[in-house]
This record gives sequence, C-alpha cells and structure tokens, in this order.
Amino acid sequence: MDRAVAVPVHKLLESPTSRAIQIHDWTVTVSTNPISNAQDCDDLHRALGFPLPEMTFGSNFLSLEHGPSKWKYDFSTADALHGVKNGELGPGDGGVKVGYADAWLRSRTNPSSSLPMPKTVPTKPYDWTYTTTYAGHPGIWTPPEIDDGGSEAGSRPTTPIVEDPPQPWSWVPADADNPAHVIPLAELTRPDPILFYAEVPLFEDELHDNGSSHLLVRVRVMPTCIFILARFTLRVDGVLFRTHDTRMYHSFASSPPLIVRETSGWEAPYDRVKGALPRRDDLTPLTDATFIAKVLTGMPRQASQVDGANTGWRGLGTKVEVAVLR
Amino acid sequence: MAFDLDLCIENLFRKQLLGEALLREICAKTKEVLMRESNVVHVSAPVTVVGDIHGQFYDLIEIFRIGGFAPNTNYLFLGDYVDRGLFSVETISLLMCLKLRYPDRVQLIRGNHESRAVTQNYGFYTECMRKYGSSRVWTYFTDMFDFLTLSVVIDDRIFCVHGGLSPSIHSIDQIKVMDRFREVPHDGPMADLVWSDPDPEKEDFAISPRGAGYTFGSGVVHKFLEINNMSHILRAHQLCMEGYASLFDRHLSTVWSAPNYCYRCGNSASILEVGPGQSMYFNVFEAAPENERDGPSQQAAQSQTGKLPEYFL
Repeated sequence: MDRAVAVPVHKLLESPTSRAIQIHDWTVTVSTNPISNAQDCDDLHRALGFPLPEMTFGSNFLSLEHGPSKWKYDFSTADALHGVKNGELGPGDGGVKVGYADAWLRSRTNPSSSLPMPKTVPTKPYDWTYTTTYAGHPGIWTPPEIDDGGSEAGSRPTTPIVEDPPQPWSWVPADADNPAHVIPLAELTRPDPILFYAEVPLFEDELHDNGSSHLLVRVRVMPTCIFILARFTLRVDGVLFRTHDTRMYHSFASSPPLIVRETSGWEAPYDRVKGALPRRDDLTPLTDATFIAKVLTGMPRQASQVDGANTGWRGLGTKVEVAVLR
Repeated sequence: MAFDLDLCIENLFRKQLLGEALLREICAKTKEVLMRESNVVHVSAPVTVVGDIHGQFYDLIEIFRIGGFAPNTNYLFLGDYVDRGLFSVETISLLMCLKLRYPDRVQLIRGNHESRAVTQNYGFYTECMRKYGSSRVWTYFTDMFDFLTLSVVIDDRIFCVHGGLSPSIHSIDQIKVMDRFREVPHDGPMADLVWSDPDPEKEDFAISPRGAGYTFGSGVVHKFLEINNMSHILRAHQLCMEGYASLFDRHLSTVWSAPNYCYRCGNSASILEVGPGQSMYFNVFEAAPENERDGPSQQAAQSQTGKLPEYFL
C-alpha cells in the first residue's frame, strides 16, 4: 500500500462559532455552541410539541456542500428532534418504559396502597427516550457571497448573479455488485493525515437518571475522502441499549461525485450488553457509545438487528443508499 | 475530636484528598450532626443558596470566591454534589467538613444523586475506586447521604428542596414525620421531593411519560404555598443556560450552580443570595479558570484516550 498519500490543496476557515474546510469542490462546515438559551428552548419546544432534551445544542450543525452541483446536506439539532415521535407511541416506534415503571404504577393503583394515585392530568405522550433515526437532511443551497474586494462605505452594489437552480437528486438503493457502493473500511482505517476533524453534539439527555440518550455527529476529511458518522445512542437502565448510525462517505476520486450513505440500527436487552463488560463491577463502559456499538455490532445479526430488545422498533437493520451528483 | 478539622478544610481547599481512615471518621461525625436535624430545617436570611455542583470542584471554589467563604456567608446547598464532574470526592469532602465545622451556617439538602444506585452509574463510585483503590470510601459517603435532610425553610416563607413537590405531601408537617434515614426509594414522597420537575404548561400533577415519577403544575404550586403560608419554592435539579429560571409568576425558582456543565454545555451558573427582608438576587457566574489547566483535556491526556482527532469508523 502506498504510504505517503498526496495531500490535496485545501483551505481551513475559522470564525468564532464555526470552522470549515474547503477541499476540491467541497465545503464542510461545523458549528459548535453552548446549549440553547431559554428563549430558543421555548421556541423549539413550541415547534416540536414535547419537552426538549436536557442538553439541546440548538445552534449546532454540520453542513456538507458541493459547489458545482449546488448540493447541500445538513445535520442539525432541530431536524434531528423532528424525528422523535410526538404523540402516542405505536407499533414500530419502539417505545419503552423505565425499568421500575410497572412496580411504580402497581404501588399507586393497588386499592390498599398507602400512596393512592392523586388527581392527575393526562400526560401528553411523546418518546421520552428521544429515539430518532435521523440521517441528516437535504439543505437549502445558498450561493456563496461574492467578495467584491472591499466593504468600504459607498462600495458598488453587487449585481445579483443569475444562477441555475440546483439539480434534483435522490437516494437510490446501492447496487450490491458495484464495489463503489460500499463504505471502504480499508481506506478509512489507513492512517492518512486527518485534514479536518470535528465532533458536533446535537442533543443529550440523561433521562432523569434512568439512562442516557444522545446524538453526536463526527466528521473527518481525509486526503482521499470525506467521512461522517452520526450516532444516536440510547441506554435505558435495566431495559435496553439501542444504537442508530448514519455513515456518509464520499471519495474525491468518484466521477461523477458519488455519496454513499449507510443507515443501521441495533438493539439488545440491557443484561445482554452488561454481560459483555470486561470487569463485572465496573459499569463505566456502559456509558461509552463506542463500547455499546462494539457489543451490539459484534452480536449475531438475528439478535441485534432483527430481534433486538423485542420492542418492534422499525430502526433495526441496515440500508445502503447512494446519491449521484450532477 | 481526634482530628484537626480546620487543617482538613485547608487541605481540601487546596484540592488535597483526605486519607481513608480520616474520611471514615469524618463521615461518622457528620452522620451524628445530620441525624439530629429535622426533615425540614428552618434557617434565617441572609443565606446564599447553591444548586447542583456535580463534582465541579473548581466551580465550587469559584462560588466561595464570589459569594464569600463560610462562615462569613451562610450557605444552603440544594444537593447533587457528586457524579459527572471530575472531582466529586474533593467536592463532597469539602462540603462535609464545612458542615461539620459550621453546622448552623452550612446546610446540605439531599439530591437524587446522593444515593447508592445513582452514584454507581454516574461516576462517583468509579471515582472513589480510582482515587482510593477500593469501594470503602464510597460506602462511607453513601451511608452518610442517608442522613442528609430533605428540605429547608428560609424565614418561614421560602420552601427549599432539591427536585420539587409530591402529590402525597400537602402540608410541610407531613415531611417532618417521614422516615428519611434510608436509600432514596424509587417511589413515594421522598422520591418525589428529590426527583420531580415543574411543568409550566400544566395546572396539576402529571405522570411523567417515562412511566414513573411526577411533574407538577401551577395549581399545585399555588395550593402548596397557600396551605403552608409560604411565598416561594426554591429548587435545583434542572440545567438551564442562564443559570437560573423563574416559573409560575415567579413563585418558583430553579437555581443551577454548575457552569459549563459536564465541561461542554457552555451554560452560565448562579447562586441565589437571599437577603433579610424580601430580597433575592441571582449572582451569575461562569466556569472557574482552573478548569482550563486541570479539566477533562488534561485528564484525557493522562489516560491516553484523549479527544484528539480520531480515526472513527
């Protein structure tokens, strides 16, 4: 294998709230910020109709742009949360209750209970685990600002440039016989220099100490490719683990430009993953998304991608799609 | 006392750990002090109220720098001293010693993290194991937690608790007769006091969508204040970007005292200075500068699993 990969010309940009890389025809931009303030939380809460995760990084995003085709693809917090079920959970939504819910309810509804059920109003149902199969969304292309070389007062108004509209595109199922339609692990494990790296948390919630739910997007731009992993990880203590991954890969060598997107979901009962701990008394790995994913993906497919934790969650399984940019 | 408490406090302010045998003794003494406290402790203003700290030791020191040091300033801590941050042991050791040294000027309320079950999952247990090599210290601390009080009333008008209200508790007198010397249960009024959250869109109690636990609405708050002849509820338990929040026509406040929570949220924090008369002032602050040189990046560098660019797959 060639050890020294040629590093293409690229430009790194930085502003107080964002970082970007321009390489070949591509721009990758990330923005990482504090959690949303009360006003932004209220607005998003109203738009979604359910309480927000404890840590909602409402202004964070990752965006991927391809200049020639005016193609844009984004990962953002609000859109990810729009993928969370609002309302009564039905078949396929994979709804769960906390481990002690049945005992809790029994203790309240038992006629001899010393803790009778108080007058309560119905709770507006939503998926309190914030499970989402969000795999990013098509962004709206905005032409780059023309730099006319100065911003002095009285500078000439720039003439709007008439541009062709972006070309329509869509995801199509990958062709199993086409070697370009897979994410090449060999290339991605090669220790080429990482030109650009970012971790963009979108949301995180500890489920009131009943577990943890979070969605983290990572990107690395390599001399030969762009690779993105958006990973949703859920732990409900005593109940289950769930992972949903979206991987996007683009090889700079592909022509016309090709994007490969792989989406996968896994799930397993809590004790099954706990049984894989290296040391029984140290539960720390159960808070590590990488450890959880390793255990879930290492299980037989039937167990973690078909049976799961018997919740009937529709996110189980793996799907590979491609998009060709013109 | 066989140990020099002032020296312990001095060392802890310098972030030096106390020895295991010493901690065992101090936990035992603190238990004796806490045991004598009512489930509802009455204090007078002026008092400075502190919300969740979660092992962010340097931010606790920052609180003393901006709010004044004990015993010159009276403090009421609303719980959640441990878990998540890097220095839960140092944080709870210091607070415990201050409580023991100035029992009438420092009040410690129990939060939902002052529990065996929760600390096993959220970092305190692991930290005790790492810093002392066994779980004994964790056992001393969590046994002491069973004696922390559940609520404080300031000047007969402000009711202070970690989480919120319970459908089983109408009158504060009902709290006084509870048996609190135990692990926080999943269930019942004691659990509700440390776990429940307000819901500004509701009037009444509602069962959480999680299937256990309650949220409480404006009607519940107003009724509780009226029955108990109080004017305000003060609690912690919920992160907010601004470091504090007011709900229900300012009849309830949340105070949050862990800035840049978990070293990544970028949020502000506050302490609430309750003065004599009716004055309440949220003193807002940001993360202490020491977090930069002794925070997660240094810890990660030591453990060789740093957050450096990663060849993730």
